[in-house]
Amino acid sequence: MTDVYLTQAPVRSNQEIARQIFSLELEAPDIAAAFHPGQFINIQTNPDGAPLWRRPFSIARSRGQIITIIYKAIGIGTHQMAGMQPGNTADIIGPLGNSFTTGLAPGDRPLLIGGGLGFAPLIILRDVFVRLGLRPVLFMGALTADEHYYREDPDAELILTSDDGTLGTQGLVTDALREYLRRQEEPSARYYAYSCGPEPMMAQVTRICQGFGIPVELSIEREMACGIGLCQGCVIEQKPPRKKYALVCKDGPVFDGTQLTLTEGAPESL
Amino acid sequence: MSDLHTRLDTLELKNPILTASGTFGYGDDLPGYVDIAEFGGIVTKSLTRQPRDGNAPPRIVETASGMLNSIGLANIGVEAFLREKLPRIRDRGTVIIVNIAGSKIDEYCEVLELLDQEPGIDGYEINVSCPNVKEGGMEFGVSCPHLHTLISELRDRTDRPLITKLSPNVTSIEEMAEAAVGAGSDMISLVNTLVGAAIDLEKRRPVLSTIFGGLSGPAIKPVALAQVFKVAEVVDVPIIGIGGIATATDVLSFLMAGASAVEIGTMNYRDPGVGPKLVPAIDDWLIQHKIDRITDVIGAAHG
Repeated sequence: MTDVYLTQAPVRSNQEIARQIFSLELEAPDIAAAFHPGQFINIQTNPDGAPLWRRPFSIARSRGQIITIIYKAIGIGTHQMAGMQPGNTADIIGPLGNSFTTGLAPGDRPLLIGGGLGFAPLIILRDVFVRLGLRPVLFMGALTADEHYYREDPDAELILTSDDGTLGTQGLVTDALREYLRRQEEPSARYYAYSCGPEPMMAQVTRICQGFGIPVELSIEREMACGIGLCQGCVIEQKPPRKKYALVCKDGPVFDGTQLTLTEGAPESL
Repeated sequence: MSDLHTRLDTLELKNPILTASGTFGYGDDLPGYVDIAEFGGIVTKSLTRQPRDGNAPPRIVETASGMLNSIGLANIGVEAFLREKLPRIRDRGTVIIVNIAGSKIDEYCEVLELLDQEPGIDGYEINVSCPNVKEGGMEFGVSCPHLHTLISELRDRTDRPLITKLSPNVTSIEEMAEAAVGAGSDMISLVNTLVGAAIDLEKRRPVLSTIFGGLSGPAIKPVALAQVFKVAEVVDVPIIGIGGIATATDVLSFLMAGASAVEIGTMNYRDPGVGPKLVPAIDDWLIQHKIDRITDVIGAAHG
């Protein structure tokens, strides 16, 4: 782990971009220079007390020496983060984990499918693909319009859904994906799917993509005590012949969706 | 600068800070900003005869000033350790303690015998107190006769220092310490985690797949200090204090309670380099109090 840094990163901005959802910009030149799309940072929100663990967030965007993470203020750590302001510094470790496959060929169509906050790590992927001259198709689902934080994109096809119909198509983002693939008339197009969101949603994305013969990479979320492979706590079960449990922090967070045993069930928030 | 060297039986440590088993991997795969040579010593993850996958998730949950874990002794097995890990950590300027776990006496003995043939290992810490696996050797940690038999068997098989790591989940930790020392243990380390549980309200089920896990972190520090204090009253061998250590004050507290060194555990998860970062503050305190050697504070609280 030679390219991992512990740094006190100055806060550049911290803005609410949707209801209780914030975009935090940090000045972290070493991490900005070293990271690959899909990797995450682990942030200590309170050096003097609770919470004990750092909180992991995928890097959502980067320009120059700045990295951006997107988070929702829902627990003690993220509420502390919501109070961070320019002038403060954030104690962060990163970049951590593995990364998405980005080496696509001209003419390939990346499909980026995000549910709620899970769209965040796909934004950096979108930036990379647009830079490569590809035209990614973005699927962004949320419960309601208030929780949509990515509403426009001039350089990509953007398909929005909301559970309550207040923005985009009413329904699940997985249904939008299935409909999109059914409509396609170019069987030769080489699709690559990338997804992040609630696990039942990612299980459904994986099934849909398998049905169309499309490879799919998932970014998995787990609670982590350390984020660097020491605690062995953040495991996900893999299918044979792979080792039974993979560490999400180190073997992941990005996995081939077909290799995982994902939590099924009714999707709660897409 | 004060003299921060401390002695654990035949082992000389440059400072009193070790890493606790299970919180530092095998010491070979850390961020580049962590240098194991800055630690007094490192203690590896528990090794068993065969590799172990560990328990089903969820394995961890954060609690007030601490955490519960139920990893289940996930490890690569002793042979992979000798092949892949030991060559990367020995001769790196720090004391290497290998932690051994097992389900039967034979398994502990086999692991120790394999390790004992290899140079570069300075001592063994015997895990008799893992609360998280059914066959985790826990009976050795709660029964004096069983513990005595196990440690005697291991003592017969090595001349390297033996450290017995005790469980706090017993009626009398002093009796367990005396049984270990009576069987030839050169040192005692304590405490392992306290048995705990957490409930997921929405699922109406325990959070951990195994229901119970081990509580660690600053929440258990006063418990650990009490246990160290008690054991220091009844044994004459070196003691290694473990339990929620996060600051220089914590380190000095354990030393005054009777420990000759400490292991830092859960706080490594926040920053695996935290141990050496406490050293300057420890040194400052000693200088302010005109104490030349850190060993002078060991047991100071016993009057």
